[in-house]
Amino acid sequence: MTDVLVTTPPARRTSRSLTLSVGLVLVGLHVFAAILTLIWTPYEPTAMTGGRLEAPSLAHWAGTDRLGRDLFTQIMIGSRIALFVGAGAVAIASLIGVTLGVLAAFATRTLDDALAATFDILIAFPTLLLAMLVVAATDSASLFSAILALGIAISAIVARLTRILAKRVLAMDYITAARTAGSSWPSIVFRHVLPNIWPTLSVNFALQFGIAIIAEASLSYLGLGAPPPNSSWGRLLQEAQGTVYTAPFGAVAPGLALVSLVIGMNLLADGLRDIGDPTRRGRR
Amino acid sequence: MSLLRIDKLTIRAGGQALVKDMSLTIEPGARVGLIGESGSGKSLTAFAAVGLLPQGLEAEGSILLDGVQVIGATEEQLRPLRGSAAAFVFQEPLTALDPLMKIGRQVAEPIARRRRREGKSANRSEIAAEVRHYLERVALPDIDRIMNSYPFQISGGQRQRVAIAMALACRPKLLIADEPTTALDVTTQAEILELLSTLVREEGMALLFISHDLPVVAKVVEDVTVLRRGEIVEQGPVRTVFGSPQHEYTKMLVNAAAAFDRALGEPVQ
Amino acid sequence: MTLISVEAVAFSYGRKPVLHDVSFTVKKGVNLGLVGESGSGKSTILKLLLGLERPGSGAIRFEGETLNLSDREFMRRYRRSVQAVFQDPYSSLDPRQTVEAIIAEPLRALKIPGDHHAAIVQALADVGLPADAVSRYPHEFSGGQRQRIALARAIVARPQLVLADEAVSALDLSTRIRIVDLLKELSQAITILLVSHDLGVVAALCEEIIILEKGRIVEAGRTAEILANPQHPYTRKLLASVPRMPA
Repeated sequence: MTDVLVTTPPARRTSRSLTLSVGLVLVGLHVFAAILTLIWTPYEPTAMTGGRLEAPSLAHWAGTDRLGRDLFTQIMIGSRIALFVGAGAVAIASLIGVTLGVLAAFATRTLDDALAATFDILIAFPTLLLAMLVVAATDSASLFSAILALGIAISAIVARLTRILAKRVLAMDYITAARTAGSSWPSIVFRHVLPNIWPTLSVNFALQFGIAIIAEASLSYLGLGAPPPNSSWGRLLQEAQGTVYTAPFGAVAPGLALVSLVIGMNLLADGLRDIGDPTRRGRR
Repeated sequence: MSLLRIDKLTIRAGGQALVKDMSLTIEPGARVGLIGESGSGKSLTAFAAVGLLPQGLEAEGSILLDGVQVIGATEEQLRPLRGSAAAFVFQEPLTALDPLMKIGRQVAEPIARRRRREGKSANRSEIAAEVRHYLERVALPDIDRIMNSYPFQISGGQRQRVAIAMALACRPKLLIADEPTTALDVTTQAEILELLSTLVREEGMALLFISHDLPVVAKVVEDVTVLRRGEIVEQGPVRTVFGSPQHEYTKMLVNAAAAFDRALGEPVQ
Repeated sequence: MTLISVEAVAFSYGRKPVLHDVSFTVKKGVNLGLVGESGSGKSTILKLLLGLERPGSGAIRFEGETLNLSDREFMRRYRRSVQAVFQDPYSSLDPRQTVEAIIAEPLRALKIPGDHHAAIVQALADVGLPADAVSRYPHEFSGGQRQRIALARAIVARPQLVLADEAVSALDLSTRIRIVDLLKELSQAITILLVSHDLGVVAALCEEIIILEKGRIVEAGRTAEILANPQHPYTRKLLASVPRMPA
């Protein structure tokens, strides 16, 4: 029974690649917008080019905010901030998390138990709360403190996942074979462990990206993120709060942007999970 | 009437045929072996015979188990057959038993089910007595301790004996054993094979023994079917098929087994 | 000539003793079979011989020197001479490495000079695989072919001894006989120590044999003699249990 290949029925396979495509498109739009803002935006972000709280129009695609500034420009810049924060937080989380996770996988029983328990306790903290603690500790609200805070908060999940994945790999015969062949432990980690845990980890990173973006928006909404003139979607949402009944688009637009990017990242993660294993079944 | 009559069975997964045009008959009391390497479809055939093919696989042809057509039958039609017509013993005793249930309780289940079917009482002490009876039949020592143990607390050989006891407790007409000794030590294997042989004879059951190990099969069955990639390659009495194989593939298998056998020299008395 | 000498070795996992006073020698050119059932300690002996664990007491000597796992230079020399093949062809090859990278590992790790690519192609030829296998991945090969790749990795550094841990147990009969034949061929240049529970395979490949029961050697000597005239009751029981082909 062990070698019965039950192949995925064709219908399911196309829906999976649909997931990936939609994810790529959504994320791609934001990436494009973010890069574009480096050289051009429809208007100056701080210029008051329209009337106050104008509804979306041909001149201002997303309308204007309470000071008459173009919302669409601010949302585009928000994409840049969101992607920057997401990438930064995931980078920090992966650096700290993967290192700690791999160390835990090698640790002796008692140390491993202690590390595992530590990871679990940190994970039990809501990401946002942890981030707020770090921001408070660094005593400044800036983009960098937000990235650092989120990176640290997310690293525990990455560490726990890495630990389990690394342990599984370390139990494989090809690791014993590498030791017999004379490879040192560092060499084994870089040549065998990391490449084999990467597919699952990368999917997780995509998910964490989405979480980081929402967390940053939450921090900004609470006023703990980067201060103005940085137009994080969270801050835009906070500003729109007071006028949400008279000028709903002020909240809808950044909300849509936030939702579309996070859903896009999640779909991307889903789609990646299926490509993750390049070893498609094939026999000679 | 034949106990198991498989006629032109074809099993497909996706577009691929895993078993092609398979025909096999087992009369009451007969002992039949199914030999094949991995990918031969031998386990699939056995699962199909009791309607236990996994999701995604389709069977065509005819499988008559105790006169009932299995292909296309519903769960309601199949359930009474399983246990009374045929019972299974699997390869891996560790996964075939529920790790969270004590042995006594596990063996009691098929007994209780069978008694209900026969219209007998499900009286606790009567069932317990039967559990002891079957554990004794499979020559397990220290029955009280074993009845109160979990699967991981007893050895592999003992677990397989328990699995056989559970199969026996169904009082099946046909016992299907899928590589029952492959995961066991050589000395334990010899004991289990001896046990199976004896029990099958004493209970008057038929036996379908599936294996890739030629000398093991030769020890327990009278007739043998050789499968290769889902197709029957040769069929006949064991002595004939092993003694003068006709098909190239059978010759190759017999020669390989004979080579290892020769290396062992004359059997020691 | 003695390659490895195991002297009064004992080993315990935590408080559970697994090997008691085990002594034997591996001689150059004489294939040795280590036969035992589960709990016999044969896998532990293998781990000790591979330098993956230290004996609790006793010593393992290689070329006269005691095995010292902390001596990097010594272990490098040791591993150049002693390589291994494992049981499960599906877990002994890194699925994300090409065949070339897999076979190159000992050459790289042991810093062996010379043309690595040529050595790899030669090793592949020695195990009966084509040179174009180098750019492929393990999942493209069958179980028997993967074992050949594992063998190529074991012999590429031209070791003196290859330790085979149930190297054919997970293979089909038809593949098994072919790999055993391959091992016989390779043993013209390399000594093989086969750890197995399968007496038939050991008998086909090894000139000398050691029977292990519960961490002790109960019988040892030339295979043909022991098979014809087993002395110890356990050996007799083992031999009597092996299913034979009908006459």
